[in-house]
Amino acid sequence: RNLRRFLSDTMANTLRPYLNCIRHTLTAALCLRNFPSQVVERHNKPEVEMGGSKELLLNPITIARNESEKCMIEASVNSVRISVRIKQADEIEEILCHKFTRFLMQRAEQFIILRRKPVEGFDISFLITNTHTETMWKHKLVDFVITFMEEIDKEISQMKISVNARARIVAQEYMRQYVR
Amino acid sequence: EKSYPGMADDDRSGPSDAEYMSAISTRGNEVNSLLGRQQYAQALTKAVEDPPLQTKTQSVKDAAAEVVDRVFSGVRDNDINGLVEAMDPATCDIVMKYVYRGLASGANSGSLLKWHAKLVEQAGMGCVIRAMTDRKSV
Repeated sequence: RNLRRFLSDTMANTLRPYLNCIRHTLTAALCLRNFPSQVVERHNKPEVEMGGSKELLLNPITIARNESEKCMIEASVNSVRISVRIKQADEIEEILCHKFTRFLMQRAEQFIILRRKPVEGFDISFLITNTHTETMWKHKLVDFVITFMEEIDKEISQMKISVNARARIVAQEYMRQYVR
Repeated sequence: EKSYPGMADDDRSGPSDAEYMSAISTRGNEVNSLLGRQQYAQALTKAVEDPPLQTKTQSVKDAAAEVVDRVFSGVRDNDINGLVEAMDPATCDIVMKYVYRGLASGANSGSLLKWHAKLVEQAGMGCVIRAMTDRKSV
């Protein structure tokens, strides 16, 4: 038990600074304003998705905790794209992560700021535009993204534990017929 | 008020790549000796002096970043606060650019995240925004 508490403390020690860094960078990146398209009349598109005009895009920032966990923040004048790569230690976690993010992304309408497809090389992406920052509090948007990143790790490890528990029970029941 | 060559928007002049590379290698040697003598403040100031902001060649930027990375890995976490408090705003901006560059790779993330937190505390959100918006990257 002491070993487990020690491990969770060291994990938490590297998680807090990582999330704080993302929080500060996001707060800086989410300074958005309305910007009608320069290319098509009467159109208003998120410039980070169009990627056309260099003067409207900021430098993309990647914050990596290690090789497998990172977060990329691409900002522009009217929109920000946040892509997260979730830690997947083994195959079961990979499958669970894939299924979980797919479940969330199919319901992207309900999440409002979720992107239907993750950016190449990442597991899940958010797209926040100036309309979102106009209708929602910026600090709450940042809180949401940070809480999301914290919770998704916990949810995936919980799902892995329940998968293993179920597998153990199923195997026991099946083997029971061979034991006198 | 300190300013770095190449930071101003209208500064188009600049040394050539060869001049940059030779300056970087001499600076690298000086930084190594300063780190050996544990003079971390001077090592950091030396490493970020004259950053290659005006070159487009990636290898020049990589060489300069490598020198700064050496300082980042050499400095102990406890000394970070003191070093950052002694920095003026222009140096904070340059160091923040190097911190973000280092964070992209994931190596040494523990101490880089400490640098980031202290720099934000010292120089504020402006430091972060300038690192994101400045066309001249390290």
